[in-house]
Parts: sequence; C-alpha cells; structure tokens
Amino acid sequence: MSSAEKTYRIIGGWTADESSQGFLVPIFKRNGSDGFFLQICKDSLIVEFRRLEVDSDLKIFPVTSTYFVTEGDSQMFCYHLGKMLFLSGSREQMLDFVDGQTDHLADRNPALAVQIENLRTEDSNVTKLRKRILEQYSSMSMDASYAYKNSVAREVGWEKIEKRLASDEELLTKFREHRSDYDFHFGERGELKIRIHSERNTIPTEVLESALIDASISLDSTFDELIDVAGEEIQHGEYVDDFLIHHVFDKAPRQETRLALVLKMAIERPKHAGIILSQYEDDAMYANQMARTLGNFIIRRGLSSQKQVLRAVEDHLPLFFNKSFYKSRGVLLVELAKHLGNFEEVYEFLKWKVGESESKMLIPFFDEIEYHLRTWSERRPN
Amino acid sequence: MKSDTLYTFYGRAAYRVAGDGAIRLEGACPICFVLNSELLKRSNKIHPFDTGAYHRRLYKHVFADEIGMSDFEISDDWGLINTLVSTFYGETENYFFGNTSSIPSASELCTPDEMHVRAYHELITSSGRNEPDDRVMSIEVTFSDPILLAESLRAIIVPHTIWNGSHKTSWLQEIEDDTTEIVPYEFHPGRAPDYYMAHIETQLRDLYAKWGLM
Repeated sequence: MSSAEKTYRIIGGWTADESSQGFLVPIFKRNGSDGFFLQICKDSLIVEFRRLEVDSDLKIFPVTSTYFVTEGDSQMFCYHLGKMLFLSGSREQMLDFVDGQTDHLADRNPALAVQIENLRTEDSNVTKLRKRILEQYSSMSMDASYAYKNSVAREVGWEKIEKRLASDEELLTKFREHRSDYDFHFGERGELKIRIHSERNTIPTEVLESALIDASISLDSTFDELIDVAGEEIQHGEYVDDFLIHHVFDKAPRQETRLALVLKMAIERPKHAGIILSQYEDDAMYANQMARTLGNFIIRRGLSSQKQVLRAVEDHLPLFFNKSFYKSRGVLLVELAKHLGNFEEVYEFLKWKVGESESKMLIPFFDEIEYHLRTWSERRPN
Repeated sequence: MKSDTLYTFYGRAAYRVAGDGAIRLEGACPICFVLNSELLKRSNKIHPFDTGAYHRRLYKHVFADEIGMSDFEISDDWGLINTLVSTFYGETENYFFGNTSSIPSASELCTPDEMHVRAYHELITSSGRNEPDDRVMSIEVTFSDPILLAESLRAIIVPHTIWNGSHKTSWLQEIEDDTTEIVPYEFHPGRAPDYYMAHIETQLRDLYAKWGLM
C-alpha cells in the first residue's frame, strides 16, 4: 500500500439520532478506495481504519474543510452545534471548544452535558447532572427512571471495584470479563445493594464490601434523597446481614459451599465474626447448625482478632467434618480447600486429612483438594 | 444467490462489538433489541451455539472435522430450545446468566455413544484459558424473512444520551408504545465495548425479573 493509500480523509460525522448538538462518529474515505471507514482507537491513538459495511445512503453531516489522518495519529473528535461542525485530533482542544457549554446544557440536555463532563474525567459535575437526568426520567416513566438509576448504581459500583483492584492485574482482568455478574442496584428503601452469584465471584469479599460503601458515599451526593448510606449501617451489624449473607451467598447450590463462604467472611471480619455466624440463616440444617455453633462459641469467648477466630475455626473443623453427611464429606473438604486454603490453619488440617484418610468416599476428591491447596501455596509470598 | 439473514441469540445479549478500542460515541455503542419469543415459530435455523465461531474453527478442539454444523441444528422443533435449556441448565435463569456450574456431568446427561451430546457438553463446560467466550453457550436463532419491529419488539436497550427527558431520538419515538419498553443505560464515553455489553446484560436481567421470567 502506497503512502497515499494509507492516508484517510475525514468526510463528515454520523449520529444515531437527529439532535441539533452533540458528538458524531467521524467517517473517513481512503484515496483509491470506495466505501466508508471508521477509526479504531486505543489509548487515544488511531490504530486501524475499518471498512464500514453500510448502505451507500448513509446520512453524513458533511465536513467542509479537508483533514487527513493516518494510523498512529491522535483520535479524531467530531462535534456539531447546529450547522457548525468542529473537528479535532486533541481531547484538550475538544474540551476547550465545549467548555462552558455544560452549564447551558445542564437544563436543556443534561445527558450530553454528562458526556462532556466525563471527557473531563471529573466527578463533581457529573453527580449533579445525573440527578437532573433522573428527575427528567421520573417525569417520563417509572420504568425508564428505574433502569437509569440502576445503571448509574452499576457504573459507580464497577468503577469502585476497578479502583480497588488496580494493583492486581489478574483479578482486574477477571473482574472485567465478568463485570455483569456484579449487579449493583437499589433496594426498596433506596439502599444500594449488590447481587452476585457466589460461584462466580472471583474477587475478595472485602473489596466488594469497601466498593459498596464507597459507591454509596459517591452516589449519596447525587441521589441524596434516595439512599441510606450502607457505610453507616455496618456500625449496627445490619449491613452484614442485608448485603453479604442474603445477597452474596444465597445462590450457592450446595450447603458445603455456603458454609465455607460464611466461614471465610467471618475470618475476614473477625470483629463481626460472632454476629455473622450466629445470625446466618441457611435453609439446610447442617450448614445452619455448624455456623451457629461456631458463632455462639466466638461470642461466648469474646473472640475478636483474626488469629483468635482462625483458632476457633481450626478447633471446629473436626466437628464440621464428623457432623457432615458421610457422602458429602469429600465435597466439604473441596469447598474448604477452595475458599479457605489460603489460611494456614485450614491448609494444615486439609493436608493432614488427605494424608491420613483411606476412606473410599474421600479418595476421589483428593486430586481436587490438592489442586486447590497447591494453587493457594503457589500464591503465598515466600 | 445472496440472501439477507438476521442473526439473534435466544434470551441472551451475547453479541460482541468488534475491536477493543474505546467507544466515545453512542453511534458506535451496542444496542439490544429484545424480541418476542413467539417469533421463534418463524425462525429459519436454530443452533445451540454461535455458528460464526464454528465457521472460524474455534470449536475444533471439541468437534472433529467429520461433525458438521448441521448435526447440531434444532430448527425443526422450536420447543427443543426449552428442552435443551432445562436439560443442561435446570433453571432458565442459569442459561440467562451463563451459569455453567449448574450443568450436570456428561455421564448424568448421556451415554458415551451419544457423541454429539457429549461433544456439546464438553464445548460448553470446558474451562480452559483459550476457550471462546460465552457465545459458545448462547442459542443462535436466525431469520431469513423480514421481521416487523412493530409486531415483535418488546424492549430496546439504548445509551441514555439518545433517550432521556430532554431529548428523545425520533426513530425511538416511532418505536415507543404500550408494548415496547425503551430502557436507557448510562453511557460514559471512552470505555471498551464489553463495558457497554455488561450494562446491557444487567438491564436485560432487570427486564426479565420485571416480566416474571426468572
């Protein structure tokens, strides 16, 4: 391909609606080639031009000036205001152009104003504008208002989780792949909640918890009349019950999984461990009894440090094993290894169990238990 | 002769926007059309997976070359979709959520000589790192005849900037009526395509919950 053929000329912008103002999709043409092209960008640079498969009657807002770009150039922005079209290869330049318009747009078109403010990557105005949009949706229909409100809850919740995972690339990638499983929404009282299938949760519970609190605080300035701040509720223990137990674990299909998860939660929150376990309600009798037995033990002894709680868990593991239905014992050990194998006390118990048992019911599970233990062992710092 | 075909997925927003570059404009954003399931009766072909990935040989690790795509076609009886979902996923919700952990083991579902069922089971439960994405377990329904949106559209999920209190896009106004919901999701410019897909998936789940489908 000659250098002339690598050059693309912007011929105008296309939009999905017919508004009189807003951002447009820049449309390009290449010398010596029919058809339209789109810019594919990464990190604000054009990395590729891709042919647009559309009918020839695509309605394009035309550009009057001539502007050429090639791969590697800055991403092109295209914004129209009435009959005027503004092009720029610089986000800063584009911001200069739209600067000052958001105040004017806040009443007339807050949705567009939110877009502009997001280009600026500042939060302060976005929260005010969201509230304005919500008011407008409320006047349209309850459904649209409800959908938008929950969409904002997810937006903020996901962002907070991402920030907390920023230093762990592996977890961040996993979260991004399964983001839609982390479903933030508003409850009946306006409180912010998260709904996540426990089997699909790949990130630490404390990250979810802090993201929820932080998201509530962020939204509080936007939807202040709608939200009980979850961060306040945790002081009273209600938060743990409302958010974590009922919404994180209620869908785990096996009681052994639920027991392991609630144990994990208790260990990670030693100050609340007694309340978490003693208030835990499970439909299955075994998980219910085991959690309450340990919870009452922790409360009676006044245990509150992680070391103390772990010791209590360690002491109760033989009881959990012996009280379990004999056909489910292998599954129990697998779930303990999967969710709690990072704790030395549980790790050692499981290693011992795998080493000493000759039970035909347990042996088929040994490979999976050892796999989880090995995985945890490899992740431990030397 | 070239013919137009409409590709849809049953119950799931499984389509993926090409490329991983950031989307800054709603014109490039994904939009989800939720169609009435009655339309299944008029479908052309139904496959239990994304046929595009089959053509790109992304399933070659499971399907031998001798196994043709048509072997998996379930077009003759559109009720087979429900049978497939209940057999493999138990609850419809598990299928909607892409929850493969609920799928029984192969030995519970079929005998070793039922090779196609085995291969399909392996395809949707395989958890290797380089597996195709969740389109692999999304039931694909195609239509060769035109579809009238006025008769078939139950909802459309769009960026909030083209449907809000101060601005209603005209083509959406034409669609809005008592039987079609327009559901906005908050559009932040500059996110990767899968970010907006996640918004659409969650909005879709809310819709299903409201309609009593799960």
